[in-house]
Amino acid sequence: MSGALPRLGVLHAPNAAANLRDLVLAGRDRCEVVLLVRRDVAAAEPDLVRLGQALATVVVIGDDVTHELAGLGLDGLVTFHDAELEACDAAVRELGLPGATEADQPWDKLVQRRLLNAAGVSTVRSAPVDSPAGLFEAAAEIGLPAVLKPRRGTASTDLGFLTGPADLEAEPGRRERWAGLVLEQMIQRAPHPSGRRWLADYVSVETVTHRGLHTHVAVFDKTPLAVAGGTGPSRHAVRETGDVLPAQLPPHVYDAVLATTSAALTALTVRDRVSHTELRVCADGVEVIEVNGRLGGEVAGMIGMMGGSDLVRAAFDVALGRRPELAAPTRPEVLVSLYVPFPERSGPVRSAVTRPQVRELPGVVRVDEVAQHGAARSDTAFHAVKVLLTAADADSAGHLVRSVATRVARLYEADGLGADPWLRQLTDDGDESDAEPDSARPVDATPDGAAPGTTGPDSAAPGTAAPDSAAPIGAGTRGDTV
Amino acid sequence: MQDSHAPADRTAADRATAVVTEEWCRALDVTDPSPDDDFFAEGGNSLLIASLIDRVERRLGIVFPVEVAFIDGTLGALTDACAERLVTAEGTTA
Repeated sequence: MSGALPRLGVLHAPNAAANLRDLVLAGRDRCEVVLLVRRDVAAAEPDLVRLGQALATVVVIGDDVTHELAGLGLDGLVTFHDAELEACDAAVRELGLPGATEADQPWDKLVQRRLLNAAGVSTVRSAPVDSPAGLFEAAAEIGLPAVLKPRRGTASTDLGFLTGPADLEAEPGRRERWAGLVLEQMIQRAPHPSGRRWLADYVSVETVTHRGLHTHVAVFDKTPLAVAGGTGPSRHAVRETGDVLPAQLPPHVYDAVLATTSAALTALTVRDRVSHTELRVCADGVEVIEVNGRLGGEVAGMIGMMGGSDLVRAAFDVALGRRPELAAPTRPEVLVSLYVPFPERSGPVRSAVTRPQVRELPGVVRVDEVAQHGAARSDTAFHAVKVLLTAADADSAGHLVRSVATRVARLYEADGLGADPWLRQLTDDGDESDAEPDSARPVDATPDGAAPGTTGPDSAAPGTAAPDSAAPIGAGTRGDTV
Repeated sequence: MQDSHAPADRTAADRATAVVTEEWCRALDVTDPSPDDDFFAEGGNSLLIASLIDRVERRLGIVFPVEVAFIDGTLGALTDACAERLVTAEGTTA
């Protein structure tokens, strides 16, 4: 790479939202990519270092990130990995690089919720928990139902759904780790505002912020969450099962989603970064579930396939203090990335399924993952398959999603996929216009049934939403680890 | 290292093309790929490409053109680049 190009440090690790190829392609003719890899990661992932060295500069670093980066002559620093967010932000601030947030540690879920509360963006109550006694105090303060979860990370594991006093009493006997938790009010599930039962009641927004101006590039719908049972850290692990582009929201909900996202990012003092905001939606309101300070997983590639901007490149630009060139997805069809989960996470894969079998399923345009017989289910991040589907419109997409999920369940029958409540919810062909929430537990974070709409800003006043709030150039990746 | 199963009259370029295509099919579980197919668009990922690289390097005895795999990514570009390297390594002409 040319020495005249700016040097961009990328704190990288496996399972980031951008993989090695994404980074290499985004950096071409734009910057010199310096891959910064933790010593323990480099030891565990020799392929990452070997391939990285063939494509970019690789620097193996220890724990004192800021000190180690100080002599590298970097013009910017970015990460696409949750585990590196805080270290990245701290180094950006201390090295005087573009993109520092004014707020300290806004990706800590407790800090974040309090910032959102203070700005009037969220009414969800939350309290820190570090011990069993602290749990009871927190529950008395915020009430039940509630979700107990780690303050950091977005792996959606180690959750405790406390729907009533019995769950609360049982939690100390179930949980091993108590450090760094937060208890948040739980939001009850609701139908997707479009009435389509195959869509979940939450969306995600990918936003590029440059000098405090928020540009929403795309909004994604989701297929219903799956909740894995069991014991230990995987207990009540929530799994996302699919992203849908574009979102099928009524205009007033769509506007509220964008306005609330802008307000949330402003409350968190986001200045120069690509972020991923998840919001609960229903017919009459919007509530922030959480804001992630990096590009969402899975979504960048989908946006690119639909004709939108390369958001890894946009993240590079804003990390270097440059104005990014942004374009919304333009293709007219509906694109779905579907990840069919194993209901039971432990153990090996019992079914014998091949890629060609999955490739033949209706609507499949790409097969990203097929769990192999005998392999550990964790090898594919607990997915049986991960595929991309395209459809002419949302209704066709719903039929395809149900069809593919049902057929995958048959292929993986020996792994119990057919009995998963998630599949029943997805394949329920009830009257779409009369959608009722599933009787399963509520999932993830936010408030009780009290007026979620009151937390979002006036949809007619999108606030800081940038350049064109009426037509956002506005819509996450598992599977590739390096 | 030579591919011990290659016919004696196969040129180095042909052999490289055959080996890369075979390993491509193995990695992606496909048959009859097109030169225009992109490894990553066909469902490949970094783990699979790392495995493909290892196997091609072992079978052909070349240093695999990693940058071609990551930047271009098509089967045609990979076979061409590997053929060029094998021809150079063996001091032959394609």
